[in-house]
Amino acid sequence: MQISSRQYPHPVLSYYSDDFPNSDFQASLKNSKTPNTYLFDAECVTSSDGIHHLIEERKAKYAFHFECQTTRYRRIFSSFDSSFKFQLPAQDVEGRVQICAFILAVEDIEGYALNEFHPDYDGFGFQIRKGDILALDMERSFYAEKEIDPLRRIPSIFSIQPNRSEEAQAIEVDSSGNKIIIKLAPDNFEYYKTISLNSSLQPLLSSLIVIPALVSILEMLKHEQNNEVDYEECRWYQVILMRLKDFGIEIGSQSFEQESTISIAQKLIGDPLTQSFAALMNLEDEGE
Amino acid sequence: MAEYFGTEGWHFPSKIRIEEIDLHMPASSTVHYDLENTKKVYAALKDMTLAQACDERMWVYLSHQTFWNYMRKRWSVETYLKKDKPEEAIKERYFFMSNKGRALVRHGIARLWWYGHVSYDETRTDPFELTAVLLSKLDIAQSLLERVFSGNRDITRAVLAILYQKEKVEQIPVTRNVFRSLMMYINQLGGVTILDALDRAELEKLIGAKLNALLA
Amino acid sequence: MIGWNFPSNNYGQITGLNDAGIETFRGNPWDSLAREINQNSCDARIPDSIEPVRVEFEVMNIPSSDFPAKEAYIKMLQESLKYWSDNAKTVAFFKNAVDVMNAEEIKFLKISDYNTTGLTGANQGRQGGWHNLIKSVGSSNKDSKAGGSFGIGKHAPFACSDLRTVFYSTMDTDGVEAFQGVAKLVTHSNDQGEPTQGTGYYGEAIRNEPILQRDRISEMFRRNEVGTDVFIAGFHAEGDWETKVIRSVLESFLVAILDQKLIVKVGSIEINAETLPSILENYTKNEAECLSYPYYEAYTLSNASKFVLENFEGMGEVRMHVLPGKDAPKRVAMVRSTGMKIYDKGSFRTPFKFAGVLIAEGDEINKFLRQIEPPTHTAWEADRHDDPKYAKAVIKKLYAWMNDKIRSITPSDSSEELDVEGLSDYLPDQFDDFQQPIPSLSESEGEKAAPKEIQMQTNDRKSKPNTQHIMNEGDFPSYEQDMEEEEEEYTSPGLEVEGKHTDENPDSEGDKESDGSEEDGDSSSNDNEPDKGEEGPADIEDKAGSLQPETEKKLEPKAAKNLRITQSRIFCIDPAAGKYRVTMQSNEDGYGYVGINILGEVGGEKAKVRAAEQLGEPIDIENEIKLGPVLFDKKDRTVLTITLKDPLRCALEVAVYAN
Repeated sequence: MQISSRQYPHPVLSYYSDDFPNSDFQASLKNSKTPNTYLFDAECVTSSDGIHHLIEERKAKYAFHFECQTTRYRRIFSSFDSSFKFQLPAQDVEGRVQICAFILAVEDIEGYALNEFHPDYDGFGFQIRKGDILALDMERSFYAEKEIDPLRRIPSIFSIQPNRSEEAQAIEVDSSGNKIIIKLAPDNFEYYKTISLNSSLQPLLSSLIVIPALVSILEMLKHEQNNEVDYEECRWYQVILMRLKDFGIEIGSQSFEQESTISIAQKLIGDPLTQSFAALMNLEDEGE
Repeated sequence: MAEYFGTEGWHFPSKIRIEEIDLHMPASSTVHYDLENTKKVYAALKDMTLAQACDERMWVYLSHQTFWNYMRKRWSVETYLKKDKPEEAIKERYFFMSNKGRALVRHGIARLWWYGHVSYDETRTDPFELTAVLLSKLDIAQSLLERVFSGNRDITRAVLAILYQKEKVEQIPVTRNVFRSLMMYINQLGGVTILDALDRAELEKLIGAKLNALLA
Repeated sequence: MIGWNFPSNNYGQITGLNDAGIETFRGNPWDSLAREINQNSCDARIPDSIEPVRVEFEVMNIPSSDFPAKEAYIKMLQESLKYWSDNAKTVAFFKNAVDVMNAEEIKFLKISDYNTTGLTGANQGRQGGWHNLIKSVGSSNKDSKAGGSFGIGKHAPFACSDLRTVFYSTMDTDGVEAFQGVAKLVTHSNDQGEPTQGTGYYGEAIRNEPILQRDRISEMFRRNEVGTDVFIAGFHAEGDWETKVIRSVLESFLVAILDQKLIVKVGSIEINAETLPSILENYTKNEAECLSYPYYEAYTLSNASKFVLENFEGMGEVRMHVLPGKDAPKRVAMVRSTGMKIYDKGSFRTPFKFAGVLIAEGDEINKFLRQIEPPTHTAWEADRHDDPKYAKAVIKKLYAWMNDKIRSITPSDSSEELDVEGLSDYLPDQFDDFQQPIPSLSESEGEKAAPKEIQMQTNDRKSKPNTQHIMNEGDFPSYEQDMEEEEEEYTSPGLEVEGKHTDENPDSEGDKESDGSEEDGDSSSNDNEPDKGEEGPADIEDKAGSLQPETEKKLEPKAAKNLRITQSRIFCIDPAAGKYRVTMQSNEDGYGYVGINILGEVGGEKAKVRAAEQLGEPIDIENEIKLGPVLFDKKDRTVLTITLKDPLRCALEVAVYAN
């Protein structure tokens, strides 16, 4: 929000008014980030003993109000401690974000009166309601932008399709084309469609469907030295070749023979097995 | 389409499965089924992030491709031609306005998602109960959504819950003027108190009290 | 002589309880009742009216003493009991009927229609809708489009009555009123010991005519506007009759309601185009035998296929909506132009499932189809036509067209191929020639991913001294103004009257735009008028603006021209009363006029002040917002105590008026 200068019904400690002639309030924010969140480190200090006392009594707290014009996101992050940390999910903001720092009342206070008020307020006690602003610092803002990740646009070499033929098996693999097509029986395909919407279950799907397909393909590559079928033409083959190279494995060489296809498959797609177990443990914990 | 996006074959964010749903065509200029369509859009895209929700490209794809027939009937271009600035009017329904904050509520399809977003309440047996209140009168959706505090779902749902209580349960109608005064009050309140520091129950108490005072 | 009259049968045919007409409906009286009533009302729609026909079903409990000629009626029942004493079924029926009549109250189902012509010609002997309904059994002379071909539909209400007695009351477009009762019972001995016919009438006994004088019709049976009431006496109210009627309406009149040709109210539930979706969800969506929901989707969803044949066999337009769906019933609703569904057509040989709606719009085709419908209007049977061969050929052609169109649809399989989420990080398909080369991707392509580093900026909002806050009349943040402009376009375009509408009834509750006033796009006044501020700040602005001549003060001192407030402090000294102390420092001596603004989170409005005083002396307030004259002394501070009109605890600011 942008607070225009104004008179509050009660004295408010701010840098632009003299309601508290000799006190001040300063809030500072340090920021850093992770791939999905903005991290903030806040430090607040006020020289008004009266307000500080209220905070100690847990009748007031430090708060930062975030508002994003574009996404309309708004929230406060608060604490009774003068130093605290909080996070803002990056997915909730885009464009300009405004931050206001406050000290807010945590509960109603009757007869709010402090020595530090300006003499004009002498003799008056004020009614304060929960959420009222008791102090404020300068506004800040920043521009939230995201990196554009072009690679994410590209699909993988796998394609999952429903198998509509008469005697469809639960799962079949077709590696004759440019993509590796995994055909699922219609029911399985529907299941896959639904479950894949839940991103936390993605490693499970990879383990159930992709690993067996990859293993069978790697086995095939291992043993078909004569290359009856020339896979050189298939795009998926080129991609797998490249990836194997990243791991120092070359098809037809010792390195390929020695390592088990199962473990190669896991390596190739980022070890979904471990992630699957983790996901299952999470499900257990959530009890849902 | 191609020029707009610059490439062919716009690759849809794969997590969002909006191809599965379809919207109902308005039956007439007054019967537009915004409620039913809101339910559909929101249910399909409930888990979308705010940043995704502000992504013009996705909504424009939807208004031009998937739901083109619906858009043509609901926001018929022909009637806009009679207005002063038809391009502006068309633009804000089919594309995004320059004022990003308002754009979301004006875009023909995005607005449906936003109606759901500010009113969906999983604590109620019918989670769209408040959505019905939001869309029951022209003015409510507009007045509510064009205020800055519409970004706080607790506030919007508190307002709608109070309205529901008053109109549906107590059967006391709330006129347009009263509603506007209520919005003004919330804004005035926000000038002194940080509304986001209050929880849903506290908000309902304050708003409910004011509404009673206005109706007295 | 008004009363019950069962004409003598002249020692001819004896009528028993198994009257053919009523038995047709025995199986499902509610469905038939709903169909026939709504059909007849739709047929009677005022020609050229754009208003939908309205039909209302309401249950009433009437004191049995109000039953027309109660005593005579009961006597008749007892005579019938005697006459048929050896027929168990008949005895049971009449015993029950007598019980119903002897109770304190009798249940009636009242079915009223509106925006119809009423039943015409009641005062003209044999012709007209009235007599056709009451007396004749055979053919009717309604025109071809009207849903009821043979008039047998009038038996449906009797099937729902424990007394098999129905009263009709009407007022037609010529203002002719009529009231008559019909009892479809059995032969019995009349007062003269002669056997009677099965059907008796309540009305003018001579010639079995209706009662035509309004004052001789008892009040509860009178119509006050054009249309017809049907009163089913001794209404057999099975627990969920309302549900059955609603389902029937949904199943048979879906299209009529969606096209806004019909509105039906059952008890407290109104079924119209707007409420239809949620009523469908509650009543038929999950019922296995109900098809209205898939039909509704086929008819309204934006991506359903629509086929129009402008001239089918020279008989007018035919159109069909089809929607493929995984769980669809593979049926098409066959609907005539009144909006009533005749039957569900199946037997389609397509690989995919779908639901469809076929509507026969053309006049000629409707006439043709009506002729080949049985009395129950639930099929099209070629044999009923004068020329069955011809009829058969026409129907065959219609079916062929339908099949052709349906087969032309290929259900889209957009989600028949999926990627594996997250795999492209490891095994991306990046050698595809069709993919755009990565480097040329512009900024806006691709998905947004990780956040970038942020740079914090601070905004110093050191207050600008209030020297700048000079109020002018009508001066305020444009917040409210913007909103009002946008209102005009808010809802469906084409409603150019919106601007007008929003103003007409600023205090009216129902802001739903369903009143007729917005249909005409002629109100050119709206587009030009800026939206009037009838509420909030704009309101005050206008008032202030219009009532503020430049020279307003009579004897009051002139405001000092360059007076400005250099500093101010305002705080609340009594929140319950809305009292504030305003302290100001000015740059000059003299008089000035001040105004107070309430500042909200965004924008604000002029504060309405109830009272103001300076040093104990009250200060004038103009229009509740302009305070003055206030005496300023630049050497000292000026203190005012003001009371807001509405007790509010809010953020304020004060400023001087420029003039």
